[in-house]
Amino acid sequence: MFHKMQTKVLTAVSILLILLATTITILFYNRSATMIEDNYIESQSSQIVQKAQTLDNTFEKIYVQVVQAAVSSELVDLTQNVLQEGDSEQAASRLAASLRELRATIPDASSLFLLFPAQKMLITSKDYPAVRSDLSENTVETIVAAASQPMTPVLLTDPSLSTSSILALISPVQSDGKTIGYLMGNLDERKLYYDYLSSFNKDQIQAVLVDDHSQVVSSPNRRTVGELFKNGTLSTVNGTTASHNQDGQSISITHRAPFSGLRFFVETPKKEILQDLHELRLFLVAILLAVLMMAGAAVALVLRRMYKPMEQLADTMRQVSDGELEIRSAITSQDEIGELSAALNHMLDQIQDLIEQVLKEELLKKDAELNALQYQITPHFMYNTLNSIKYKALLKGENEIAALIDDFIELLQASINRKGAFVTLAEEIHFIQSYMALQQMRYEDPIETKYSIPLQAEKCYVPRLLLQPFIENAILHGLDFKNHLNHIDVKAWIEEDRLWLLIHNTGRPITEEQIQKMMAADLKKNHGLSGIGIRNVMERLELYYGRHAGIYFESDEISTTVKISLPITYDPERYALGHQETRRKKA
Amino acid sequence: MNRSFQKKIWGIAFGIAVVSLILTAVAATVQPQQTSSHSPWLRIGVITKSSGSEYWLSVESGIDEAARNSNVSVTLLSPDLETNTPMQNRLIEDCLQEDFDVLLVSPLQSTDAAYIETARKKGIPIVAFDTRLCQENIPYIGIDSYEAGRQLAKEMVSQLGGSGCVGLITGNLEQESNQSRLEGMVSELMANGIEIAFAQSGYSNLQLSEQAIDELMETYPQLDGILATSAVTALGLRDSLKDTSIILMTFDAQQDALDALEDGSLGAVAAQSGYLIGKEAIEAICQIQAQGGRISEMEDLIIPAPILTRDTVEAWRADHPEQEESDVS
Repeated sequence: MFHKMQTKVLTAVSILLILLATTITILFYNRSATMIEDNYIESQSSQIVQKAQTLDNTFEKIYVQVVQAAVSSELVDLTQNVLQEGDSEQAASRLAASLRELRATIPDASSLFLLFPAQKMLITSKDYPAVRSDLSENTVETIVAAASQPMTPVLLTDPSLSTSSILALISPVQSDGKTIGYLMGNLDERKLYYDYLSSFNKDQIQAVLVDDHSQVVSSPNRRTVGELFKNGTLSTVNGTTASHNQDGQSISITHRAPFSGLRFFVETPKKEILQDLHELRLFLVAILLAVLMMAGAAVALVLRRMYKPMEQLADTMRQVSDGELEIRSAITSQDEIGELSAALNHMLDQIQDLIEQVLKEELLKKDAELNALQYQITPHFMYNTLNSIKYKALLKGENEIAALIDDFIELLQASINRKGAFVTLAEEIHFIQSYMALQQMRYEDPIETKYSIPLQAEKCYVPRLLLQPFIENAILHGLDFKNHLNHIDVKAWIEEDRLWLLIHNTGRPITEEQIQKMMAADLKKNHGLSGIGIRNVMERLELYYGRHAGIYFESDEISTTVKISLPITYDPERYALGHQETRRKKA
Repeated sequence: MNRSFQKKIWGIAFGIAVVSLILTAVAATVQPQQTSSHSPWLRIGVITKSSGSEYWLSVESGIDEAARNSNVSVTLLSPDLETNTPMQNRLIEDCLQEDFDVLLVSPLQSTDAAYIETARKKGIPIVAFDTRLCQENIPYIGIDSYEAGRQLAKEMVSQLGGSGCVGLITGNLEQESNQSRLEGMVSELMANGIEIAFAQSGYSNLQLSEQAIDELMETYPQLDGILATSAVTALGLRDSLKDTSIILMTFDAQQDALDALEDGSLGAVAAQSGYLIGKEAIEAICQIQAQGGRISEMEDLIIPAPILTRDTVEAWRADHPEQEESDVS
């Protein structure tokens, strides 16, 4: 049974362990993934913000220096010269040279242009083309329109080459409040990409730069530059935003550079971010299995140790149930099993005591039943016979003999009477008096007997034939007729709740050895009147009163005294055996 | 080990298993789909007079500190020189083309600022700091220039013993701060019967040439003291005056000026803290915006400019560690 139980508990614990370990592993994995993603977002955001700041600083420097140049009288004069001298190559060359010098003071700018909108002419800081005078209407209009937001870099097709893209900051050159040209500080899109975006574009990470109108201004794929960006919500992003895409497969970080208004958009597949963690999966599964195996072994070991005393206890119970009541369970631990074993042992002890007591009582009962049968044979015959003898003696005038027979009949009735185990002390004394009359007949020498029984004591109930064995013992072994030591005193008195009885006789002393012999005498081998010996009295007192009754012997050279102490009762049933049992059951 | 006990064990095991599975499922399915965002709630454009002097670096430090603490975006632009008014005007006009919530301007020219009308039309509030804009409804954050000038002159009178001859070197008088400082100084000097030898203007954070200094010394040999409205100007004079008994006093609580005060090169400094002005300006704007107030209706915020002498400068420095840090940065 216990092996089955162990298996069940082991199975249950194993299932729990597997579930818990799996749960913890999955939780740990997910938590780790979240932490890695959070860290990635934090780190990537920080890098993006830093790049954006650098980019903003670049554009800010270009812007401030373009404005500084645009308002400078030198540039205004040079611009005016070009306009005043018409198509003068000299004036244009001076302006181009000035732009080249200016460009040298703005290292962040890829180039500087000065647009003459009316002339559709462009003078550049480049070596080639230094001047372009064939700009399209559309190009000019685009540049003029872009000048309305002078602090915002605008994506344009390079008007000097028409082959590449630039981001331009445009500031009007004014004379007397009239705009005569537009100074453009430019940053090549490719330069911008390699300086600020390429570091993000690796593996499967996509990074682009988008303006306020959702137009891609820089991208790893230059063909997508100028297209609308697919993510329409990007234009609403301000500051830094990180989001998990709806399909849950990637993380997007967007940051708007505050000065330029350009937005960095970096999208990273999660599998890229969690690559290292994915590689840890097998390791985690291996650890999980190892932990489960170790935990399973530990649980099995603990269960085995835990169930060992239980198995021992079960063995003991099995043997007890087979009738081996002497067997006891070994107590090997102080836990519940130990307590259970101790309780079982105690219970077995009690059961054994009870069995012994029941056996003893059963033997006594059988003995008593046998005696009762023997007693029942003769009473009526004996009474009738004795009564016939008594009346015969009376008819013949033998009154003394008739009186003796009468005493004898009373003695017989008293000793054989089965109605009640208790009699009043008065009845017991009357019985003693009858007994003494008969004994007096047997002995030639007189026996001097005195009774001192107060009225209150006479009403107390005592076990039937309590005093007779002691009187008989005094007559048989105590009285010394040769030396006229033939007095017997019977006294009774009450002390608090106890009744004291005293039988004092003169005569031969009684030794301790004799007392022990009387107490150890066989219950049945008694040749006295009632067949009841002192041992019988002692056992009955113990049976009725337990430890509340006592017999005390005292003896000197010429006398012996026996004192009996009993609890006082005026109820004949108070200490009767049947009554005691009923009270115990009620309790 | 009866049946009900076994059932209990299995029941508990099953319960824990279910809870574990639910936890696992929850942990597995709760993916952070939400978006985290850190956006500045206010965009402020700041146009200073220049970025080249220690004073303006200190102003920038104060602005940066306040912007960082208040999570606002600040775009700070400066002309190359304190004399380049056209460039400052262009920067301000350009800012008005952008979507700033408020512009904080330290004007190189306190009057006839055309951009104020543009700003009104566009609904972009302008706040003047360091120097007033002499237009109605333009709030100002900075020191009380007239009172500071008067107090500095009072200290000069005190150090001169109540009599003497003093020269005044001021910045561009188109700037209200220089004009007010000058008026304050003149008022106090005249009230105490101090002779004003000269009053030269146009030196805003600019040093006088050696030739100009020599000419001054030759022209005014009786000079006992010079009051300069700019620490840069005053510190430029220091070497030329070191062998004379001329007492030199100026404005701006910048480190080199305070060092000069400690070594006795300067007689007193009106402690205008650029750091404090920059910081308080951003914080005041943020506070008004956060409370839903109108910037154009905000009251002037006057920053104290105590007069520091050699005796008090050490204690002031101890009380203003941020000033030291901002200048170092």
